[in-house]
Amino acid sequence: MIVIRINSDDARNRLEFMLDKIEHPADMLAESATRVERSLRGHFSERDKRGNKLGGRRTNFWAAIANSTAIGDVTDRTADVNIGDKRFAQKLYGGTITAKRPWPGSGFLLLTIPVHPAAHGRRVSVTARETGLKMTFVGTAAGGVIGRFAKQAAEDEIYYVCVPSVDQAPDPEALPPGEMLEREALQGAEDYLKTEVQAAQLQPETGEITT
Amino acid sequence: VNEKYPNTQIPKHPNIFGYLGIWVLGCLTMALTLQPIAEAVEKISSRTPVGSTLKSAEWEQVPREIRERAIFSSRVENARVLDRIKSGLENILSGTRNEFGGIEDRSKFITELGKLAEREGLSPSDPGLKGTIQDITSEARADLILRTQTEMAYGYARHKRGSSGPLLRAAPAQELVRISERKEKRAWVDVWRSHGGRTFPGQPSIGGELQPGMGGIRLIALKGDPIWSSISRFGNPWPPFDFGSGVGVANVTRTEAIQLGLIQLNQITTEVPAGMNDALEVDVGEMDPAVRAELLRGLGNLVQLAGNTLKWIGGAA
Repeated sequence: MIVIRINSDDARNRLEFMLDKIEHPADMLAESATRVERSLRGHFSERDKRGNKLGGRRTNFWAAIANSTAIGDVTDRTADVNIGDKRFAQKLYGGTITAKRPWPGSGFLLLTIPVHPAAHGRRVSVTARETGLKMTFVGTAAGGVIGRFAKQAAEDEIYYVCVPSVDQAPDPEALPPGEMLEREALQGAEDYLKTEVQAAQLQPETGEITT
Repeated sequence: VNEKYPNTQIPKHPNIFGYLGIWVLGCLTMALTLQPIAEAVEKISSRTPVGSTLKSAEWEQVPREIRERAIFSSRVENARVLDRIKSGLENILSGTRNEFGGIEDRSKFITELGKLAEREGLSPSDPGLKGTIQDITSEARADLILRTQTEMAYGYARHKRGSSGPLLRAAPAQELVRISERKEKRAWVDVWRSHGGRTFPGQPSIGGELQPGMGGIRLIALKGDPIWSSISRFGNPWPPFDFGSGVGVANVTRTEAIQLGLIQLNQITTEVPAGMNDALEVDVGEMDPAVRAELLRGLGNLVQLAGNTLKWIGGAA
């Protein structure tokens, strides 16, 4: 669990002071969550611009993460922002990946890692179908390669490298900096409070800030 | 990760459904969680596969109320293929794990849909169509189905959540933004203006320019504004607004909406209709007779036709 705290006593004090004055804290939290959610989606959208390392056809992974991000439950005490695409967990936390089912072409429990642009984001069968090439496995249970093997070795093309497992490191930029999210959350709350003060000034007879 | 490493299973994280982060605002908390978006899953689950020979352009003539109730694909009659599309989308959106502990992802969906369509004999007879989006066995077609349907389900979910209560009060307006870059961008600013949309100076809050040379223009309207449905090829007020467009919407806060003059300081925001009409009766009198006949054949006992009024009654297709 990542916990990000507001370090500014001044900001916290002002928020606590204003919280006592408002009738609907959920509305304030909702405006705060709106800015956080928008900031997150903006970050994912920026990540999507980078493309993939192999230079293959883009899968727009990060755009899919952005599209699956939405504000969740908002109460007077809490506000959630949800990311619906489960693949994000592996980006954020990393971890060891092992094959659970053998690829029929080898019979071994091996991961097939794309190393050719045409293989990016594709399983072996899809690459074979799309390229019209016969994909052949060469290797053992300890590892190998999948590719198109010609009569001349110089014309061989490797599409996948096969390994029993991969340790994937967490992506340190999977989420935007915590300070940025904290800033957005605070800005949303302060915007809300300022607007409420302005609205209250238009209605002096009410005596208190309402939403 | 499965798109990068095919045939792999993502290891279970104890905190996959847990909190990713918590912000403490005074005595209030805000959390970032990883969990399926329930409304998106429900959106797909509630739809019924409808096989038909109708082409994409003909489906666009079908009233939105019917299209929103159906899972269909251009010129696909095969029930097994349509069932696979539906179950694949449900699995992806819900993150359901299979017997091996893996989750269905893009590459698995594309692989299995293509293989099934081939087994069902749906490969195009014209070799020139092989591998194109007109070929249901191709990666391009499966990818288009997956992107469009998942974006639509998530778009609906975000629209529904943001159409009432605190979320609507906090963000009564939204902005057309570029979520994903495209080599060739549609002229969204022109489309927006042609439908009477107001433009505002400034950089879009998410992504780069919507249209080449139009980086300093923002396209913003209230969530209940009919322009959202008007600019959509699908007639929905939520994204996607066209096939593969790469654009979506971003919330615009109440504070910004007031500053832009979209709402007044003390204006009470009214709830935005979140879904279809409940009666599900639509007039099909202006549809092309041949398209209407094929639609009725595909819908079977899902509908009743009285005069020109088509009523959705549910049940099996």
